[in-house]
Amino acid sequence: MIQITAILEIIINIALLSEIIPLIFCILFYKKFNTRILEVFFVYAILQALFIVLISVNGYVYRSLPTNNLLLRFHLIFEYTLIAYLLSLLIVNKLIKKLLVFSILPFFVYNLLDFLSYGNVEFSNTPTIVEFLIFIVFIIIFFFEKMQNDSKILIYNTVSFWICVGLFVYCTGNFFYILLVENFKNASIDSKNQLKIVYSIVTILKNIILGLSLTSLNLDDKSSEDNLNFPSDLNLDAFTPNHKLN
Amino acid sequence: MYLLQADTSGISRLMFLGTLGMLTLAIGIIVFVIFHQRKVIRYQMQMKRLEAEKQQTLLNASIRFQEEERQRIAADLHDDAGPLLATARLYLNENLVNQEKAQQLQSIFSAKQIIDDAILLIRNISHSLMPPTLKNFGLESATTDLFQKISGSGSLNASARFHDYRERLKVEQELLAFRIIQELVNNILKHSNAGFIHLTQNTSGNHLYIRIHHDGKGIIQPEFDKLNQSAQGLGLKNIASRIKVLNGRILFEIDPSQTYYKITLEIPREISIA
Repeated sequence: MIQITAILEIIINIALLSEIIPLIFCILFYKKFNTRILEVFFVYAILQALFIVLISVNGYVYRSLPTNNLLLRFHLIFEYTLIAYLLSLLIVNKLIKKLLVFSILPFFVYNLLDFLSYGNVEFSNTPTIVEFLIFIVFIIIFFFEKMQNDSKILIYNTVSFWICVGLFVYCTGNFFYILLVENFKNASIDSKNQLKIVYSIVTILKNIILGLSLTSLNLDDKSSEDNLNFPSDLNLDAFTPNHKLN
Repeated sequence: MYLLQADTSGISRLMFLGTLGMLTLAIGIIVFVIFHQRKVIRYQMQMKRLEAEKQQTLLNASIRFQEEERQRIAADLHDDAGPLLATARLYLNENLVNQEKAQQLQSIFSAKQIIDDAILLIRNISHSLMPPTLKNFGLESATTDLFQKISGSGSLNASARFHDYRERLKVEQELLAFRIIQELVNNILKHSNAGFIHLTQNTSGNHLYIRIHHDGKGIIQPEFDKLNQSAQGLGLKNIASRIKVLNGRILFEIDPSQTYYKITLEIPREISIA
């Protein structure tokens, strides 16, 4: 029993530490960053690491639940803002782009109202559920667009695809955990930790996928252009009306 | 198993199953997207390869046609012009000055006639490369001339009518269009056993349309496409390659009454500046 608890603790701590993985990969591949998408992703990785440091310091040093809830709420707002902007850069449809960007302010207002209702004494799961639902829908739209796109580059050779896969796994994998987390309020810390294993494993998976997504920057577009056109130097007099009239 | 025995076991089970379901769904969607895109790319590559093969075939046909044309010109020059000029040279040899005056005049007259024949022959070769009527008077005159010559032979009734050709196409376009018409007419004469050929021309928007009707044995579009892909049908490949250069279209069809065939050419108009 003690052994299992210790293992669970280790996994939860690894999950916390894993939030730094995307930042490490961002630093490693920084020289290759040449798009706004990657810049936004870099900012997301920095904020993710920063928040995890703040939450860890609060959890291990101050052990203040209200501060923890407040930090989680700030984290949620920043996370939503950055991911929504990132997805708006990835999606081609202009209407959906606008919808994503303009959803940031309503989400912020909704969070504010939720904060005014619940305060920071208790953790409120509804804003996170809303966030996950919105992201699941928009990531599916992104995949749908990619399926319709006649690009010659294989989808799994692109950074944007793996970023979306990481976020998709994170949102879908943690959806039921966040949805039912309020039912475990009165459970013992051990029971809570057991349930946190799902969240931890999904988070580790997400961070590994997000980190490794940047390795796709090394893959070049190997698609070759068709060069079997009629050459112009064959002097096929009747077939190349290139010369101009005097 | 231990987790399922906890106090909130029902909700735990729901959470685990829900998470498992969601992750399965997510992975399913991701795998589907990857495989679908791979399939689409593979299909596009296949289409591109087929298009490249077709272009290669057309290119080969063009090169072969050019070689055959060169060989024909070489044969004409070697077999006809060569002997004529050699004969003329014989008449104008060194002994000419030692001959009697009457014989000299006879030799010069014969040499002159042979040289005239050679000039005519070379002119014919030159005209076959670029018909002077086409160059000087345009597609309408050249086509009408061609159809009059065919009709004049008495083997079949041929006529051409241009409804709207006030502005000539560029010379290069006219030559390509004329070669296509020539090739089509040659094919009709050779293979169709037709009783009449009729050509009509008109314009619509920025396109010029030419339609040839004939009552012989013709082909329809699928047969044209098939022959165009096969190793046979060099003439049809030349038509296809010329159409491609013109950025035009060609359609082979049979009239709904099944009495005659129609070949329609669509050529984008590039008006001649001259």
